[in-house]
Parts: sequence; structure tokens; C-alpha cells
Amino acid sequence: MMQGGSGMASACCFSTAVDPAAGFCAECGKPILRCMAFSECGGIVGEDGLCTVCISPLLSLDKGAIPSAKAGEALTLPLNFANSSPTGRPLFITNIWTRLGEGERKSQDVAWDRLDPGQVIREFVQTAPLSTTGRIRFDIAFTVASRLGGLFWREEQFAFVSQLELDVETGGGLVINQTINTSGQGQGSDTIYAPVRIENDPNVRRREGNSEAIPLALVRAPRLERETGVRGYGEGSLKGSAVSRAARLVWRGFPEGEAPKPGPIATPESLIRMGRSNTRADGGDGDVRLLIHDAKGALDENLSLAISRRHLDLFIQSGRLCAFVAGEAGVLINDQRIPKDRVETLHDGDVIKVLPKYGDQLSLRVGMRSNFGVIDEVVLHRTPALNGDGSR
Amino acid sequence: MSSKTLTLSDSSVLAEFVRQEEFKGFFEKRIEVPPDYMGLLIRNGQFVEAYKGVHLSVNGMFDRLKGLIGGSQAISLLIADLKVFPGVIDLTGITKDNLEIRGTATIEIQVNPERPQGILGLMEGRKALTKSAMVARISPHLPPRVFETAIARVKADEIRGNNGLQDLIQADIMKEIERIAGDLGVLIRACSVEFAVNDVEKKAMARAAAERAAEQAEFDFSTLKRQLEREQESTIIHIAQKHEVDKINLANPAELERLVLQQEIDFSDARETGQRVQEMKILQHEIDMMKTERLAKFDEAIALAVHQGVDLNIVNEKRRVVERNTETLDREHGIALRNLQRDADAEDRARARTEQRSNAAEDRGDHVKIREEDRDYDNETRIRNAKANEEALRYARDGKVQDARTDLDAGRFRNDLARDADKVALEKLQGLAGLEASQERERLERRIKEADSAHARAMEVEKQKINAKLDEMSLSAKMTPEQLLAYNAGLNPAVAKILEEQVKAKANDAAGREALMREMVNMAKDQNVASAAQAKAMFETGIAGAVGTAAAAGGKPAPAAVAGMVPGGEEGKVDCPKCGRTNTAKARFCVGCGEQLRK
Repeated sequence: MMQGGSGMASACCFSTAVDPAAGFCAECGKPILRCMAFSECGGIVGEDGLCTVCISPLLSLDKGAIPSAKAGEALTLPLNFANSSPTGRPLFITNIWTRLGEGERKSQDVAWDRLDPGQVIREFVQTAPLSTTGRIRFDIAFTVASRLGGLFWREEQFAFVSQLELDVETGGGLVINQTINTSGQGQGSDTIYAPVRIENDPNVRRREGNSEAIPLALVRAPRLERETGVRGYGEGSLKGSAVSRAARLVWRGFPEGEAPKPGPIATPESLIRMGRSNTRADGGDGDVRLLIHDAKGALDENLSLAISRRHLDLFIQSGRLCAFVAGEAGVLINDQRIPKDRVETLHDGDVIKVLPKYGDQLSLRVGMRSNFGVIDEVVLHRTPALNGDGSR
Repeated sequence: MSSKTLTLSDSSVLAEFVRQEEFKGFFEKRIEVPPDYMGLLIRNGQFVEAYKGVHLSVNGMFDRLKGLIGGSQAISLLIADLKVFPGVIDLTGITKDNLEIRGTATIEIQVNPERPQGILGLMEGRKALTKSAMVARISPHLPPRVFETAIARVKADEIRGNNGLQDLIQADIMKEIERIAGDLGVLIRACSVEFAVNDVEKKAMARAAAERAAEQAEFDFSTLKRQLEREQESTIIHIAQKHEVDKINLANPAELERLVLQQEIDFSDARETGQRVQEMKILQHEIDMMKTERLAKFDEAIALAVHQGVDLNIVNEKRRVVERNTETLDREHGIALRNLQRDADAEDRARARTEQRSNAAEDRGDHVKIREEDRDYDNETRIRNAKANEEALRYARDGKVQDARTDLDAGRFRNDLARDADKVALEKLQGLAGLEASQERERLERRIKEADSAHARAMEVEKQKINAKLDEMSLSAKMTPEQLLAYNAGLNPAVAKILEEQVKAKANDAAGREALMREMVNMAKDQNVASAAQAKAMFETGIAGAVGTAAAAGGKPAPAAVAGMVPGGEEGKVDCPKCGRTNTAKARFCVGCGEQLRK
């Protein structure tokens, strides 16, 4: 039972997504935002980058959960974490937090992280002592990561939260209330109030045991993701902002045919390959062609040969624009040398010099535009800028 | 001539006019007003002068008074008491916690000697002014303006002992009286307020009294208890003393004599014991002293030897060798001693047995000799003698057997001892081994528990898998053959449902549906269709070929107009005017750049 996810893909997009070369839906014209693991899951993500095929955690209160707590005592809840992904992709639970009432969010010490499909792992979470009687809010939050190997490892992290209400009665029963709001899932605005009563009285407890696991509603927690730095930028001028998966990449200063049209990353691998090789449109395997031209606009073949066929990959990971350095020569980012096989996070104003030794010959400047915490446009300026025909 | 003292007619009067008769009578007298009174002379209704402690001579005044009295002028004399007098005023107020408080204010007031004529304003008529009337004129003003205001600020339990409150009330009372009667010749000298006991204080007092009573009762109880204990102890002592006395009384002289002797013996024993202890102490002291001397000499000898170059390590090594040799010799000596002892014991036992047998034989021989002497020629005796000899021989043989048995028993005894020793050693070994065994057992139990928990987890996982399988089976039980076909091919149930619906819509007969279903399942598998949405989309785009195939399989002609198909079986294509990418004819947008191709 999971809620959340914005910019859900339409049904028609899935049919077009079958064609790996398709970047836009033939029916509705929306860009097709594939999951980074599209080759395994076939999933399409929304603007928030969440692939519901890969990221499908389930949380439930385990059966036999008979917490016995009065005011002043701590409460231990046995939770079941499960991965219901139908594609056989594992999940990684990287953090678990609990929060009682308006208190501080406390990190739970978890000894495991991998959660294979179909696997159920039981984890106990413990509250602070219940200082007061009455109805107390109890939050269980955790972050889930989906990882993909290959030339380099990619990871998408998301935070989910489940809220419980604990009714602590002195010497009486402990009632766990859960309100499930299903609005936002396209099913109307039904609100389900699901009280679960667990008695403290041992006699009552024997009569009414918690015989079945109780599923808990999970809600995406974008604010928590920003606060904890799980997604988006945690520092700099764009602190608190995250790059939308549907962000429009605009290429400035590139000759005609050497850069894609402005638009989101809609490739099958959900990344932009930059290098010396031809673009996909010209039969190559790249998306942006990086070549060095001299002052007259003529191609400098010698220097261009120093650029690898696949030199730099751009992709969006956990709300951040990242670059994977694939070229043998490495690159300079803000005049700091980044060697091959390194992944670096790019920020607004960063300058990427493609050839470290000849940094002035070709560089890319990154510009970002943020609207209410969402970076919806990324501009990459080529320096020196070329005209459409390749001349300066 | 004696003077007549003019005073007030009553102590309750504060000021009073002197009657005319008093003047008429003193033509030949002298009159006097004491110094603590004030005489005010009034002529024709006008205040003339005030005399404090005046002394008047009748003669000196006669001429002047004669004309005045007998004349047309009206003379009167007012006498006022200048002493301070008390007045009591009842006060009532409500506290902050709404409790009525009663109290009395005692004021000390006085006629102002500087302005005594002012009291004329307080007098009704021209007779007298009493002190109570004076106080009564003031008292109505104090409770509302002073007391109630002050009391309303405090609680009932805060009044008693509150000096601040007292000062406040007193100051306000004095200020109020000064305001009311200051210009009437009245001076306020002092004021004090006394509060009545209120209900809160009464309850506190009652509670304190009850606590005191309880403490007193507790004290009385403890005192009584202690007294009873003392009485009991003294009774025991008394009884014990009485018992001893009775014992003494009952003792006869012999017992007393024995008692005295016993005491003397005890005394003597104690004295001897003391002497022995003392001797023992002396001996112990001498031993310690000698030991110390010898140790000192020994240390000195060692130091000297070390000084002379003797290597103590060598000495110690030699000593250890000697000690080891000594121990070895001791052990050998012990073993030899035990062997000798054992041999000696065996010899003793053999000797004893030999002696016993020889004695017995001798005895029998003696008997035989005696009988031979007695019955020298008796054949029977000889025969018996022969039998006796034979018996002796047999006995000797039996004795040897007995010796062998004794040796055998001794051997068994030794074997038992060795077995017991072995048993003890074995038990010790078992103790050590038992510790290791218990550790091993704990380890095994721990492994068993771990294996149990792992088994439980594995069972739980298996159970979940079985449940999932059961769910699938229950789901598949409700499926149609077409759905089962798709579901068994590994497709999502929702996808299977979509496929089935589409097949029903596209093919009419069962054979056509099955063929179409197989085609679409293969297509869905090839395209990794994982959701219902993808399945629907797949139909929108790629069903045409499948329909054609299904139609052929079902023996029908190909549909005349299927979306995306052109006559001849080839799908229609259209190029994007913006990016030039080739799209399917039914595409509304270019899949390469998103350009709208048709509406």
C-alpha cells in the first residue's frame, strides 16, 4: 500500500516505450522518461523519478505484535519490510527513522540493507518512553534505494513515511490508529480510518490476539528527502532544490546535429552520452558530439582525437545532475581534475573542461533554473560557442 | 488658707463646665486646677484663655470677679482632662479567601493642649463630654476605610504575626483619626490592633492540638512500653536472684563444703594454668629470639660469603640439587620403609601363625605324652595318637592354606586401596572433562537453537511462497483458458485479462481466439509487457499483425481496414516534418521529437 509519485506516466506511453529509440509518446506526445533500469523493469518514471516497478516496498505490523506499554514505558513494534517488486530487482533500505509525537526524529540502527524481491525482513523499532497518555503520533520513515550496475553504479533513493497514532491509556488498552488517505491515486478521495486495537490487559490480549500482519500505508516524503539530503541539493545556491526527471536540457553553442533538441533525457539508458562518436541520428551511439574546432571554425582533428568516443555521461540521479567521466583523459570540473570512472555531482555554474590539458579549447558551463524547489531546466553552454554550421 | 482643687466630676468625663455654685463658694477660698487638667475661661460665650495647672487666689480675684459675677457679664470655666485615655473600637473585615475577621483596635487619644478649645465642637450642650462619646464619634469611620481595605489583601492564615499588616492598619487608623478629629483638638498617640481567632486558625489549632495529643499518646505508649520492659527485666533479675538464694538455702553443709573445695580446685587450676601459660610465653620468646639470632647470623654469613665472592646462584643451584636428591632419597627411603614394614608385617604374621601352630602341636604332643604315659600299652591310645598326629599334620596343612588366604586378602586390600586412588583420580579427571563437556554441550545447544530459528525462518519463507502459490492457484481457478495461457507464460494477471478481452473482441471462433492469444502472448513476452497499461498500448500499436495472423488461422479473410495497415500487409509510415524521423501512420506525435503529426 503505497501512495505518492507525481507525474505518473499515461498508459499510452508504455506502448511507445517498447520502442527503445522512441523519445516521445506517439499518442500523447509526452516525453518518455524511462527508469534507469528500463532494460530490466520496463518501467516509466514520473517527474519525481520514482519507478513503481522497481521501488515497491511494503511495510506491515507483524502478526503477534503485542506491545505492552503504559505511560512511562517504551513501546517496541515488530515491523515487516518486504519488497513486492515484480521484476526481481532488489531494494536497499538505507535508513530507518522513528519519531514520537513532536520529538526528534531518531535513527534506528539497522544491521541489514538488502531486500530481495519476495523477501520479508522483520525489524523491531522502539519508541522513547511514552510520557503522556492520550493520542500520540508515531512516524516510521525509511529510505529505499534502487541500484543498477554496469559501466558504473547508479542509485535512486526515495523516502517513505508511515504514520501511526498511538492511544495510550493508563492501565487500559493501546490503540493504534491509522488513517489512510487514498486521494491522489486516481481513486477519488476516500479516507479509510483503520483502527487496530491491541490490548494491554493480558487477559484481553489472549482473547484478541494480533493474528494477522497489519499493512501500513506508505507515503512519499519529499520534504524529508530534502531535509536529509537523500534527494536534491543540500548546499549551494540551489539548496533544497531537486532536478526534475522531466527537466528540459537545453544545448547552447552546439552545431546543428551535434546535440539533441531541447528536452528531457529520453534515451533508453536515461542518460546523455557525450563524446567524439556520431550521434544516434547519424548512426552512432552518442547523443552529444564533442569536437574541437579551431578559430576559423575548421575541425581540429588532432585535438579532437584526444576526446574519447564516449567521454562524459550526463544523467539525473536522486534529484541531482551528475556526470560520469568515461574518457581516458578525464575532465576538469571547476578546474579540479576528475579522473576516469568517477561520478561527480554538477551544480549551477559549474564549468566542465573536456580536455584537462587543453581546457580552453572546449568547455561546458552548467546553468540551472529552479522554480519553487524544482529545477525544470538545465542549460549547457558550449564554449567556444559555434554557429549552426560549425563556424565561430 | 487651703485651696480647693477643681477636677472633673467623673473619671469617664473628658471635659466639663464648672457649675456657678463652685464660684459662689469661694469668696474666701483659693481654687486650683491641677497641671494635668486644662482650665478654659469663657466670657460672654467667647473663649478668653486656657490655663494649664492654674492656681487662683480668691482675694486676688475677688474684686475682678465680684463685678463680673454680680455684674452683667457671663463667666464660665471649662475643665478638660489632658491625660491620654484609651478607647476600644471593634473592627470587622473580609479576607482575600472570603473569611470574616474580627478584631479590636485600641487607640490612645488625648485633648490637644495647644488647641483645647477645639473640643467645644464635640460637646453637645454646655455640660460635659465623656471619653466614650469621644471614641464613639470616631469609631464608625475606621472599619470601612481602614480595616476592611487592609484585611482584603491577605488570606486568613496570613494575618497572625503579620507585622506589616499591623503597621499598615495602625498607620491608617492614626491617619484617619487625625483627619477626622485633628482640628477638634484631639490627638492620637498610639494604636494597636488585636485580631480574633478566625476559623482557619481554629482548625489549625485543633489540628495542632490533635497532633500534640497523638504525640503525647505516642510518648505515653513508648514510656509505658519502656516501663513494662524495665519491669520485666527487673523481674527476671529478681527471680534469678531469688533462685540463687533458694539454692543457697537448700544446700546442706556437705554441698557447701564441696562447693568451696571445687572453687579452691578451680582457683588452683587457674593459677597453674596461668603459670603454664606464662612459661609457654617465656619459651616462645626464647625460641623467637634464637630464631632471630640464627637468621641474623645466617644473613651475616651469606653477606660475608657474597662479599668473599661466593656466587649465590651456584649455591642455590647446589641447594636445589641437594633438595631434589634429598626428596628422591626421602621417597626411596619411604618406599624402602614401606617395603620393610610390609615384609616385617608378613614375617610377624608368619611367625605368629608358626608359633600358634607350634604351640598347638606342643600342646597336643604333651597330651599325647601324658596319655602315653597313662596308657602305655593301650593300642587305642596309640591309634588315637596316630590320628592326632594325622590331625596335626592336617591342621598344619590348613594353616598354610589359611596363610595363603590371608596374603590373598592383603593383596585384595592393597588392590582396593589402589582402585580407590584410581577412582579419585578418575573423578578428578572427569571433573576437568566435565567442564569441557558442559562447554561443548552449551555450544551444541546454541547451534541447535540457531538451527531451530533458521528452520523457523525458512519455514516462514516457504509458507509465504506456498501462500503465494495458493493465491496464484485460486486466481488461476477463476481464469479462462486464454488467461491461463497468458498467465502461465509469465505475464501479469492484469495483462492476461487485457489480452483475453482484446482477443474476444478481435476473433470470433475458439480456434481463432486461441491462435490470436498465443500470438499476443508471445508478443507481450517479447516486449516485456508488465502492466495492464502496457498491454493496452501494445494492442493499440501492434495488434494489427496479430489480428491478421489470427484471421488467417481462423480461416477468415484479412480485415479490409485495420489501423496502421495498408493493403498488401505492410504497415503505413509517415515521416516527421521537423526531425525527419519515420513514424507509424497512426502516430499522433513524432516519437523522435514530440512534434504533432496529426490531430
